[in-house]
Amino acid sequence: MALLEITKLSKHFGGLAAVSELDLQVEEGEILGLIGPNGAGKTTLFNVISGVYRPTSGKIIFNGEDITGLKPSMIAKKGLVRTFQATTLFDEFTVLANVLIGFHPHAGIAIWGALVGTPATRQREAALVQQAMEILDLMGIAHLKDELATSLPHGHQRCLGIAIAMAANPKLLLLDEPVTGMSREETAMVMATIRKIREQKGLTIIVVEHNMRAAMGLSDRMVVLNYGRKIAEGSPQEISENPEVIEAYLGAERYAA
Amino acid sequence: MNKAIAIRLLLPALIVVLALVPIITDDPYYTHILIMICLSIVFAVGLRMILTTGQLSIGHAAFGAIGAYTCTLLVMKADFNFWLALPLAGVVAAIVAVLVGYPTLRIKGAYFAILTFALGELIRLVFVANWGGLTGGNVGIMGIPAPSAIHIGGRVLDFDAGVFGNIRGYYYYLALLLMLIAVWVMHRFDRSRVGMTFRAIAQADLLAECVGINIMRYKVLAFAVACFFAGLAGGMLSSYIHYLSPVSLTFHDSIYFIMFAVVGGVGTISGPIIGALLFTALPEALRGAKQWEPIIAASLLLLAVLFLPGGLVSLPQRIKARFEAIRGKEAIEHGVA
Repeated sequence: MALLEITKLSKHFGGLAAVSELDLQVEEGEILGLIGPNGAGKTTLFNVISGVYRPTSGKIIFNGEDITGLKPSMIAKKGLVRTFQATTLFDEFTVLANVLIGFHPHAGIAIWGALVGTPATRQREAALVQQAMEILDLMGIAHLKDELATSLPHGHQRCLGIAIAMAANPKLLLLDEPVTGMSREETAMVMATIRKIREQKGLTIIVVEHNMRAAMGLSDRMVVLNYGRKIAEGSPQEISENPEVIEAYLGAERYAA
Repeated sequence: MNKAIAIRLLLPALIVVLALVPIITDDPYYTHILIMICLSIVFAVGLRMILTTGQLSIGHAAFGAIGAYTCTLLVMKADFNFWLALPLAGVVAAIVAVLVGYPTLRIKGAYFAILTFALGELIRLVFVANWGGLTGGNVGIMGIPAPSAIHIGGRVLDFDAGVFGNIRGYYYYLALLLMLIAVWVMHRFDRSRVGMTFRAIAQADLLAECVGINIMRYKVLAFAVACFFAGLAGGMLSSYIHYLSPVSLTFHDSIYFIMFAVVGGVGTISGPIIGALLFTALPEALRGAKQWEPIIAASLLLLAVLFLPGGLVSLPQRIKARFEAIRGKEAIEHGVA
């Protein structure tokens, strides 16, 4: 059975159907690339899957459980964790503290234990710091642990965003434009990191990406959205040769020009 | 590290000195000011905790009023022992905070602030108009008894009699105890993962929610704990002043609590403590020029907001940074660096 199974999902804003009657399946262990022209509904879809928006209709089954309409915090606890398009971080915290907050769903620290500072919680906190360092190491930003999040360069901020999500121990990770707007070097670094975490943690990943080369390079399989509908699905090779996809992109470009 | 050791040594010394105050002085006026400072600190550190979650309450005094009326009415109309009524005052204020907090804390920024203002006025009007028979309406309640005497061993702690020749000695000890407990609890919050979660929510609530934090639960927790202590402080205040009316704790006081926190600095718990100390002592120091007090207070608030975003507590650090910048510049000019 698929890890994520979306059936007939729609999200309307007033009269506008941002996502419309979408069926989508994500198999365990794959990287699914989600592409489409601007306004195709990719970010809206992320917002609906992660619980930020309530769907207008349809069903989302994650790991055999119906998560349709649950709150974001509940969905995150079940192992479906997302990152944000903009570099949304806990700006005034250090890099390490950012990751420590990410551990929240399974930190195993009760409010009372934390307040009293029992030996058990102190041990647990120390263990979490250790784990956080492992994640930072994996993301290649361990040496920046004491820097403020806001002071990092763009590429490292994106890596930190992913590190926070990793701390929440996801089964399925939703990456919203992880390399958009980055330099070539930064793009290469973040892409390598994403591949590495997939290999080491056995994660399933859905990635929305504007940088077409990056999206093709990362994905095992791709889904193309346009006007909230799925217009194509297949391997990066198949997608790049699909006339409908070319039409959607060229059409959009012609329109934009 | 040295700083931590210094604080560790200085803090008990400071508490000992504070505990000796009624022995050092029997002046009821100074004792009164110290009692008011202690109670102000209780309100201010609570308000600051709400601020750390990214919410501004401009009705914090209303929860003091809830505590004050709860405590007074339980003692005077229901014959409760004061020592049972006082914690209940905190509990009732906290329960109201939870009931009000769940629907309203979803709203951020100015909207929540306006709601807390409305709530404060609403509570005042309810006490005055609707429950006038019970609360004495605008006239208020006079002759609120002192806390019941405590019997320990053969000794009787009688609030009316005072201690060490200081007529307000026991009130002072109660206020001091309340303040120390409030500060200690808030400090524990600050230092723990819970306080860190509060600050995370203030910085990026959507991100916090998307890593599994139930942000409403945390916001309501901060609000309820702060209001619990406001209720305790209000309960104690009414039994100390022996009088309570709808204007005992008002919007004006709420604004002062915000001023304590903002001018002192909301970054650390010491900020609101210093702010409460300054602003409670200031009017007393300016007794000869009472009419200037609001202007001076408002000017301080404006100056702090404009030039000292970290509040007064950030001042030493800023001066140090400034000196280092100057020294660094000199070093460069002299070709040392």
